[in-house]
Amino acid sequence: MGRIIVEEPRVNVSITRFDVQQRAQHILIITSFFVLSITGIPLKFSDWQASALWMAIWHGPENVRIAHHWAAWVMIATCAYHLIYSLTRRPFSTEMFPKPRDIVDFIDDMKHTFRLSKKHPQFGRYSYRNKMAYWVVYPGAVTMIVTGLILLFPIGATAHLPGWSVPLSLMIHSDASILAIGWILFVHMYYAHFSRLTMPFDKSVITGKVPIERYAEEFPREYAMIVAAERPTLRLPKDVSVPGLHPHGASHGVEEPALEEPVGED
Amino acid sequence: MVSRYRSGGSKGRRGAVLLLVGMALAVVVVSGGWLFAGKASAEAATTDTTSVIPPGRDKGPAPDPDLAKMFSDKKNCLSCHGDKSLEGLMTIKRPDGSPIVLYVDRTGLAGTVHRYKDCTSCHTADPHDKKSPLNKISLSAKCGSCHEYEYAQYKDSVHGKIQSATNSDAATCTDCHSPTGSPHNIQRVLDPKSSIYPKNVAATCAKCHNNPQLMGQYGIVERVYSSYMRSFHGKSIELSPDQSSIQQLDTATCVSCHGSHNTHTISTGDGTAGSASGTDDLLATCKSCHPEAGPEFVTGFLGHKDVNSKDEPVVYWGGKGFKYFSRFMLGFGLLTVATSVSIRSGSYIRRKLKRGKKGSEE
Repeated sequence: MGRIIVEEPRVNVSITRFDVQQRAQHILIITSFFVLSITGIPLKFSDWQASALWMAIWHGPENVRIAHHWAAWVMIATCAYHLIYSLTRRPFSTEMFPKPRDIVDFIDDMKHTFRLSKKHPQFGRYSYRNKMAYWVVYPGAVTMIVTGLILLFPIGATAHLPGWSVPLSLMIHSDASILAIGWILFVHMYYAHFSRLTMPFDKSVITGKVPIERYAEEFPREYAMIVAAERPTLRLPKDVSVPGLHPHGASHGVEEPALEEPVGED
Repeated sequence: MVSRYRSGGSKGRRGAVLLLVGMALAVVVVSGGWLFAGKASAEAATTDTTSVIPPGRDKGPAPDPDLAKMFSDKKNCLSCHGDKSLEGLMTIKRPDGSPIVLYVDRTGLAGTVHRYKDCTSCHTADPHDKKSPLNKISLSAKCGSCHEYEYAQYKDSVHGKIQSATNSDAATCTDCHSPTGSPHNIQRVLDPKSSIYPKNVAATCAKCHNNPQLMGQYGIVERVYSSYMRSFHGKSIELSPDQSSIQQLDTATCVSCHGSHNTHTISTGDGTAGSASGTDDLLATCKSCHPEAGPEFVTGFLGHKDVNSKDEPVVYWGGKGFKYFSRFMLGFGLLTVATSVSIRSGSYIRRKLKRGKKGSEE
């Protein structure tokens, strides 16, 4: 048996999952979060030898402080922009809000995870995991921003707030940073990238695009909606097959997406 | 060509051997000199005969000419007191029991700020008069004969006041200004190697103030050093690189709040570090660097106290509550990841094993 395999050249069909706005916001958050982490950790663990070495590389804590403050302003601006973007977007999107269906998805997912069912959970645009990540991270960012601003302007803050707000902010900022870094590094990275479909890295948050087969499998409910909405106008090349659509376009009757197709992996 | 080589054979070989031995010796000497530079120079000093040694006192090591150029020793005191064997001779004791070391380390002398002062400018013209050996009080007075202003402040400070002939617990000039505690080793304040350079001053204070037993005798129960190192000021100092300039170390150290020569107890109410009863003095102290600070800013400053439920209940319970909340959240997230990983890796291994079996059957 030979080892050379000739692969058929094929046209890639993908669905845009994240628009430019969302991608730009996420990239800004990633960048500012990374800078904030590498400039904040040595301050928390100031008695480590590594922290002193790291500070020496930066030529002193003054530069680290400037970088931390700048990255913080970028994150504040991005979070504020995201809030305005989400509220002024039309049609107003409730996709990120928890809904009763999420409980069903969660139970399905648990059943599948613990081998009680072969059926994969049928996620919509945002799975309950996405929602949980969002609703943990956004209040986390607000916590970090509020406490961080108190620490950045302790004199201005104590002109309006009681004195204990400063030491309390310091404690919360310090503990929340560990939660945030731990959560992003292990929980978010795992669920976002180490899924059976996206291993080892999900590019969609940078490119915005998800291959159509993966979309059908990962977010079947939303996929069905997209296909239903685009079916009348969709014209595809002959050699492209789209799950849920007849190979030769939309004119030949309707097929439901293969929702419950068991997959060999996982 | 060949014959010429042959004819010079034995000579050439001997030359080569000599050259090799010479090179080997040179390598040994050079590397040895590099490795044991200190030792070598000390040995060289003992064999140096050019320096002036008073007759009958030639047993001690002569001063290293290079070192000798770096400090003043008009009366050749170091010809005896520079002898390391004197280090063990401790015949004279101060009233508090501490020994007077007769040995003076030249290497320390070479870097000291007073190196061009002659020995007799501090020690009397007849230094062998044993009636008044320098103790901590007489030492500060001796320093004060030149440094009058500092001495006046020190005499009235918490460190100066408790000095007595029998109690040498409190710091005197040399305890802070000399890295070794020896008056022969006083460092320039702005020398980064100095024990009172901003980067090092907390560690210098900690020599005494981080000793709970000693501090307990004087009613100081707070762990002042560790709490300072946890503060913004302390972290900023600790994380500054060793070669930081004085401008980079523009952060409060112990002496910024408590004063240096004029250190008082916090209950004195003299404008340094505040009194225990009120926050007015503390506010004044904070304002010396943070001029716009208000009274609430000061109440948020916990000083050297650990956060406790009695003094700061909101900070204590709020901080504790958030700590456990954040740990719980992170723990929950990590648990779901761990569960998922273990289940998935289990099925992955099973699948691999199955495939492996099939492969071997084929």
